[in-house]
Amino acid sequence: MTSPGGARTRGSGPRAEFAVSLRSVRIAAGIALVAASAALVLSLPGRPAAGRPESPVESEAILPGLFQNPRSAAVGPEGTLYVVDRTARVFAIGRDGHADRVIEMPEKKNGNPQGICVSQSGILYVADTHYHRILAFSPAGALLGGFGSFGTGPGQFLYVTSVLAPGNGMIYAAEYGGNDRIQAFDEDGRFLLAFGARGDGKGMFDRPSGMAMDRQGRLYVADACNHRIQVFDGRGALKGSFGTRGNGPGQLNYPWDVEITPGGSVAVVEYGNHRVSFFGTDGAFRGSACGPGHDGGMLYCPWGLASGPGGELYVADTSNNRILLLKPGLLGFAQEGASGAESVSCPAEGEQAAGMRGAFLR
Amino acid sequence: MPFHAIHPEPLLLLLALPLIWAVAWKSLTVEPGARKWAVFCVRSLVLLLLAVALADLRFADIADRLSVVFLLDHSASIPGEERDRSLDRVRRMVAGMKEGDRAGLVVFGRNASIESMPEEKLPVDRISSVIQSDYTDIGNAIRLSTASFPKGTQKRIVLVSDGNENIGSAVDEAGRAWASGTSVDALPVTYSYGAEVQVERIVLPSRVRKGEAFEVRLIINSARETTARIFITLDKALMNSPAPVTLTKGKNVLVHSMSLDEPGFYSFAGRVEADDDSVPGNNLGCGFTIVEGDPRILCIGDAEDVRFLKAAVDAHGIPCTAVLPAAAPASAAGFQSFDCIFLCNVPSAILSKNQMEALCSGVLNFGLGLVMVGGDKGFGAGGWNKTPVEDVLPVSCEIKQKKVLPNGALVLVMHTCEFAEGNYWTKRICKKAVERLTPEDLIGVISFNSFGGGCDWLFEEKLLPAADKEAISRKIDSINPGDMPDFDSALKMAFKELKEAKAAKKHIVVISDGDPSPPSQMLLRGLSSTSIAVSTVLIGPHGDDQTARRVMAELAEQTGGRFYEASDPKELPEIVTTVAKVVSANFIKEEEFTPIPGSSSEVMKGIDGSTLPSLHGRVVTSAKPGAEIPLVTPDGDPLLAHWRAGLGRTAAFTSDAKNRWASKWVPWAGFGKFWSQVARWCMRTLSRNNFNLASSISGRKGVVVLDAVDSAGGFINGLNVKAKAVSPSYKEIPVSMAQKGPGRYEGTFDADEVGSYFISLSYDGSGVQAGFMSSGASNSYPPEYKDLSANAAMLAAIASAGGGRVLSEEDDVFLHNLPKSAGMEPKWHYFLIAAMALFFADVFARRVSIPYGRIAAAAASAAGRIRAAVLRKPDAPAPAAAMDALLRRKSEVSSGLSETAPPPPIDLHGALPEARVDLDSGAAPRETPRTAPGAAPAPQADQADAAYIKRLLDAKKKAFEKKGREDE
Repeated sequence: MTSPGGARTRGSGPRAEFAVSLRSVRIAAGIALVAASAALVLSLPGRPAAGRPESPVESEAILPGLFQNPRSAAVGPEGTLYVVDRTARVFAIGRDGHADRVIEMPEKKNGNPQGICVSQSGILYVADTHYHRILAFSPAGALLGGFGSFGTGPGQFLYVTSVLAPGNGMIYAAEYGGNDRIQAFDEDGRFLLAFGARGDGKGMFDRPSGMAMDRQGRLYVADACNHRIQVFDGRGALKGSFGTRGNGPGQLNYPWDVEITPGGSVAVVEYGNHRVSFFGTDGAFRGSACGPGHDGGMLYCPWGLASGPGGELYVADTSNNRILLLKPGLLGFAQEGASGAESVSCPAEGEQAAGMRGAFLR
Repeated sequence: MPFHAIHPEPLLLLLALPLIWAVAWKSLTVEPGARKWAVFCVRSLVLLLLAVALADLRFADIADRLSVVFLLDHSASIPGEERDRSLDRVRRMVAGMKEGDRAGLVVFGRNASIESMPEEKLPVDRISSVIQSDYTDIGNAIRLSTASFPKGTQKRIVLVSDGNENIGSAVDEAGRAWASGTSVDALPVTYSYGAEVQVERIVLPSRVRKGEAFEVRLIINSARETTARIFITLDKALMNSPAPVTLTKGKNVLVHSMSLDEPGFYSFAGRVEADDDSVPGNNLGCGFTIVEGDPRILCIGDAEDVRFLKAAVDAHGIPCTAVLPAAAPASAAGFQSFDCIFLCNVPSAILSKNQMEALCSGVLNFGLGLVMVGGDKGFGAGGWNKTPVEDVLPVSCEIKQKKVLPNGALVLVMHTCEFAEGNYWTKRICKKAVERLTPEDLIGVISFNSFGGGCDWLFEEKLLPAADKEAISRKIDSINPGDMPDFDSALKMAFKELKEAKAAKKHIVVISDGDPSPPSQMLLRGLSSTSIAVSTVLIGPHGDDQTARRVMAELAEQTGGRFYEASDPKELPEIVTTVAKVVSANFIKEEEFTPIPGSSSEVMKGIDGSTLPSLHGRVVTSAKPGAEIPLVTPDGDPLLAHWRAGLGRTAAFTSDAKNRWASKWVPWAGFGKFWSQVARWCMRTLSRNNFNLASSISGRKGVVVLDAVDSAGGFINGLNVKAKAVSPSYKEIPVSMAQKGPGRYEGTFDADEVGSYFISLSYDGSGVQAGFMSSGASNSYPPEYKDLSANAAMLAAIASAGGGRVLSEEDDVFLHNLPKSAGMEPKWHYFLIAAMALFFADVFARRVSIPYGRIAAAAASAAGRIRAAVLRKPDAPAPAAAMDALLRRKSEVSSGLSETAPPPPIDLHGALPEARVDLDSGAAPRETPRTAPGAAPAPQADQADAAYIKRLLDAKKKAFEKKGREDE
């Protein structure tokens, strides 16, 4: 078969080129097809990246579905969680996770309370905002009494938003509505002192809506519409302040409530940034948790913050109609405080770390 | 044709077949033979299938099944028992259905509803569809049923009805159905109302004079002699005695004489109640009459606005009735009982759309007069722009662009999420505000954005001119206000923009529940120093909380705005409108001015235009071309304007008639004369003639009859008569009038609606003074109740248009005598799949060479082994012997070979030069190793080998020589 082979090879010049070019066309087509398929597959909408909190914090919703727009939370000395929501009721949720009691406000036509706190003797104080008064309830839920009336004089309130009974013999109440200030009362409700005025200068307030006191007796006030935290001593002398408006790390956008963690950090819940930010007592930014969202460990327009004895934080995640429990994690909660307090070794949920009970509320 | 291509063009691809064959023949690297032909066929088939798939070829299934849909008439003209009987007849017919046929049921009246889709059996016991029975629309039912037939069957519609249709045209629809292959047959429903008493109509003159005696006649049809009670009511009060009356078979006329002393509009109703009456729905007749008196004026407005006007006009001898806006006439007849209407400083919101249409129709068609008097709520300031009333006025409420007028800028701050449906109200409020502003005004909306944690402007441009109201409305629909923590942020943003805005009046409206933190003193000072007023509206669930009120009231007070409290969200739009009006108060100019005389007019007769007292304010309007303007303002805007609108006359006075702006006019001596002249000019002029105009409605036709008689009683012929009928929904129906006898002119019109029809007629010519007259007629009940027997002619017409016939009960509806229909399913996907499969087969056929021979051999040997194993035949050893022989031979050859170097492989196709063998020296080299060794191969095998090899070498030699020759 030489001849046919010969003839073939002789005429193979142009034909070989044709064959070659055809072949390369085929190869190119194949590559193109593979590339197109890959592109198609990759372009398919992938699962949306789940909102990642800015720091790895474990969270859990407490009794989802029970609350409607919860505004404030507080933890009692025996670990009971109290939550007030827009139905003007306070829910007492025991350590086992069941709602033990529901305390109704005597009046709610005008509106619902925006702040609650529990004293170390277990008395529940409620800042009944639209009735211009502080109410006190026994641990069983019986109304013990109250104080305050509409007005701008001593012992009177416009919109009282927050109450704090830190155990130093005084009850602090924060108000706004034109006469923004902090007032202090004794345990019988008698007026002791008042400080602050409406404004954005030093020691002035624009809607102070949350308070906390650390072990050194310093009073931290969440000056919400001035987007800062101001620090006073127990009698109202300004010690310092930190925070500027923004949504970057370390900035604040409508800080609605403030808490001191057992580890000594200052935790601030931000309504406008949908997150909880942590600072040192000197104002140094330490990190933040959560972000805007409606499920998982995300918040939406949160109003309140409470810290539990085990180092956990309860966030009143208002627009998501729930209380979100943030468990102690790597960041923020468990760091050593400036006071050099003993470090908290992340107890498991439900466990009580010895010595932690009441440490905050001494 | 058994098949049919939807898009025939791709079939042209088949022309490429020969081309493919030509190319393929050359290029296929396949040996000629069966395989090549197979490849060709496959390739051609692929192209064919592709072409066919693209062309969407469809094959007709010849159907031999029949579907029948029964249309059951459930309109009110058919008595109840008849309807049940029809259903029974249908069921009996369906019982005779053949295997594979289907039956469906559609029930209809005014609307049609599918009771049961065509199926193998009719599961219907009772009719469960709810349809409106007051009208009959057969055409709609036919249309609906043609859509319900399943594919691939012959189609027939059987109409079970009395043929009395009053909406649509069944004959047309039947024709259309037949054209698309569905035949329509008719099965008549007959009935007779044994005892039926029906009011045919009530007859009374449409106009009577005050105190004049007239007759109210009630015409009643009765199927047989019976007793009944008659009730003639006037405005719900009984006029006659209710004693029972005997009715004879046929037509009965009951007459009631009466007279009316007060001018006005009166509506009569005549009702008959008989003991045995088949259809009670047609026992009512309605009519009306207008009692004329002296010309009357109606003034609509608040007490303060009407007071002076009424007094002045009354004093000049024109009776004037004053009503509050809420009591404005609700119907055309109500308006028409007056001769001129005054709208005294009322906003457009007081009249519903219906009332406005009634009023305008009265002006245009019936000669009614209309005067709009201004004030802070008149013309543009009252929202009359773009209303039908503005169309008939001699001025336009919009301000023309070329006028430079102070404009306003309005910012709405919305904190409205805290109350029920807050979002809905937010949108309504914003839209209302936009509506009230003019294109020269600016609007902006701010709300809190929960996600971003801050306040945002709704519009990208922040402040927008309120020009493209549609686009702005759409943007408003996207608003979603969150819970604002403080007012500062929002007000700061508004302040920043308003400061720079070019507007004469700047305003912010804050709508909130008062919770947000109030703004700083510094901001408040800034706002008031730049004259930006903040009005606040408190709405929300904080009840009696004084803090909320304190916050909102102080904010308004400190900036010069107004504080409003809305206890109900419904009040919000009105409040915002009020504020928007304040902003957009460019319609109103409150400054003193002296009217300047314009064109001369009979309205100003006897009044010296140059010495009129001054006025303290007016509403800015623009004159329409063609309007008379006897008085103007110093700016050139109209103060008094009038013109003719249709058959009527309208006037506009842009200042007011009370002590606010006209404080110098009210006490002026000419005040009464001025206004009474305006009124007289606008009033309807009565035609003085002896003509008689009568109109009536019977069945679905209205009849208009004019008898034109002159004062001596002679007939007037040759008049040019034009008439128009206005339906209850204000639709204008022209009526062509023709002379039918001496002095008699007649015309007809279609009267399908239930209610009062007004007829307006104008005439001229024949030496008579032109004039116009009006009359009215009522349609008391839907025409459905007028039909008392079946309409066989209509049914026959429908059946013939539908290619069917009028059936009787014994006919077999399920006769398969219709032309066959072809149902075609799309099959292109099958073609496509086949093409793809064949394509792969083509590639396979070309590229993969299946060694059929080896497969066959392997199969055969496998088969043999299996057979042997199974059967254990004695010829088993034979293969073994053959095997032994083979093995022996093999060992001999290999031993022979092993003594020399293995021969180079014989490459029959390769490049021969490398394996060049010196053949001239004989074919020794290959042969030698084989035969050299002294092995003792079987001589025969040797010889056979040698012969074979020799042949091979010879062939090679020949080929090599041939090649050598070619090289040279």
